[in-house]
Amino acid sequence: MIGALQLSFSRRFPTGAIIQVDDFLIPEGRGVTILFGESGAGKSTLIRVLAGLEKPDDGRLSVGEEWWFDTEKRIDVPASRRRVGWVSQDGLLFPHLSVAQNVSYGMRGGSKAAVKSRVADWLERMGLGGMENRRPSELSGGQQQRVALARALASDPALVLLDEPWSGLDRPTRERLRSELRPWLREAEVPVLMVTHDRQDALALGDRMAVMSRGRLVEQGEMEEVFCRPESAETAQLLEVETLARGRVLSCENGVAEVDCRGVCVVASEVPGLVKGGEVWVCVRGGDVSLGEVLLDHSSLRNQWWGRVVGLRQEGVAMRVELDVGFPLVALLTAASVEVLGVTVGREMVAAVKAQRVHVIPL
Amino acid sequence: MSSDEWQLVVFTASMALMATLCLIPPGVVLAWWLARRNWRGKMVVETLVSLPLVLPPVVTGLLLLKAFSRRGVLGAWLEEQWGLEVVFTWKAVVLALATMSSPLFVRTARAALEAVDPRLEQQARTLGAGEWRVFFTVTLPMAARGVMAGALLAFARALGEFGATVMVAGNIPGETTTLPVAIYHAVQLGQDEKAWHLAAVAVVVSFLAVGLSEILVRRRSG
Repeated sequence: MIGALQLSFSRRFPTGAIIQVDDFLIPEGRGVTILFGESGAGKSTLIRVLAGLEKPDDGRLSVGEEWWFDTEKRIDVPASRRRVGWVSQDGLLFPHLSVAQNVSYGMRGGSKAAVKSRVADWLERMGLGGMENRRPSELSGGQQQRVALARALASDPALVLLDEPWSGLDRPTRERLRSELRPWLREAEVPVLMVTHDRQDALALGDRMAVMSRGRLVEQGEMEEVFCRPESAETAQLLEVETLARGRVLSCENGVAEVDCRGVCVVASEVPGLVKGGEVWVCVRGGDVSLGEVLLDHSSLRNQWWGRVVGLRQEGVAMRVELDVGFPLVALLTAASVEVLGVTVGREMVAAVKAQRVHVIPL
Repeated sequence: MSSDEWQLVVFTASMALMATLCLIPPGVVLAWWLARRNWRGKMVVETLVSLPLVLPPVVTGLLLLKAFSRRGVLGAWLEEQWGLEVVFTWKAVVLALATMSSPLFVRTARAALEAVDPRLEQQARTLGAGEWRVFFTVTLPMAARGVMAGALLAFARALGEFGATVMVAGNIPGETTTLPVAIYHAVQLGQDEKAWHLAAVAVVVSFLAVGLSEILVRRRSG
């Protein structure tokens, strides 16, 4: 992409629902941005506005120095001239064309032989070698999505838009696609914006995250920022994970993994895909963290960390306690517990989590 | 079948074919506008398109006669500009057949175009295809069977067209006499056997045309 993308728009639907997005931003350069939110939040509309498939009532969209849309200046670059690769939930392969014809549809220029070899390349990369002459109807759901992705990438876009690309598939296929396409997406030379309501997608693929809820852009930023320091309880609830920290695997055997998070040893249950030395996300739900005044001996608790309370605030009926144990950790306690324990900002306390409750996601 | 009868069939079929072929390009364009666009007054256009289906064919023929006769609005202009004479020539036959078949074709083609998932067209646009390319590479191929079915229906209708034809083209043997006109004329002259012969031919040809159209429609939705 030639520069940072900035989008603000509003759209009112006949049903009365309103979508209002202010200053959605994708910074210049590569990386995967996750557009996260529950169904009906307005994520697909945002994607379609970016692609030029839907006109907002009012808005501005600029990519670097170029203006793609501006209601005031009456600029509206049509979808066919925005170099955007759009993959929707249904793949939308052209049923009357072969796989090769689908993939080459957006390719510009080049001799027939050159196009043919590029198509073969892409199919190879997507694990679809030799399927040039098949029809979309002969492919499985997972294969169709791969062709759709190859088609979008092969058109040499400036921005890739994935609208819940595998939510229509069954879970095993989804997980397989996610892990197989992860290298592709994270290493793509163009920025990728992916819409999902699946936390796993967000954690496994995202560098940045933008959260939408009920038609509004609630917040956006680097993954860790949005997860650890969500600006609203709403976001925290949507994400369902209060603590997110980067770590490196120290060991994994006997069903147990030890992870180094900024010098602190975190014990978690093993998951497939972990390798010693590999980078991971460590996730802990606030409700799974308990606080105490002393370390417990003779306990099954493998994770007990001394830390200092750096923040304390009410969140609905719970109290949100932010600690620094070497990495930022959030505990959700009842107001009563906070009072009985005398939790105050600045106090040193022991935070504990069962290894089973620490969730690790390989990167 | 005698050579006269054969000549009638060939003439009628070729007039119907020409009318259908002339109808297809503007018909598809009109069908596309009706399928994909909205505008104020769209209802008026839709009504006009359906009119030949509902008006008595002789009335349609009369209107065509008024417009295309040598003193008519269009007829005068055509004669001045290109020395073209329309009424009571084979051109009038084609005109009458095309006009009477147009509602069938446009409506069938429109339904076929509407059945194409617009999201596929949107997908094509995001891949860089301009409107023409979207139409020729996605919309039309996917609607092709339906459009063909419409063309066959139009052809079948044109084979049987009588009222408008006899009005604007008349009954000039060898020049403008079509199969239906000849049947009518034969009955009027009391030539029953000839009339029945021609009628049988008309039934067979129409049956084939409509049957083929049905098969095409069925395979599309299968």
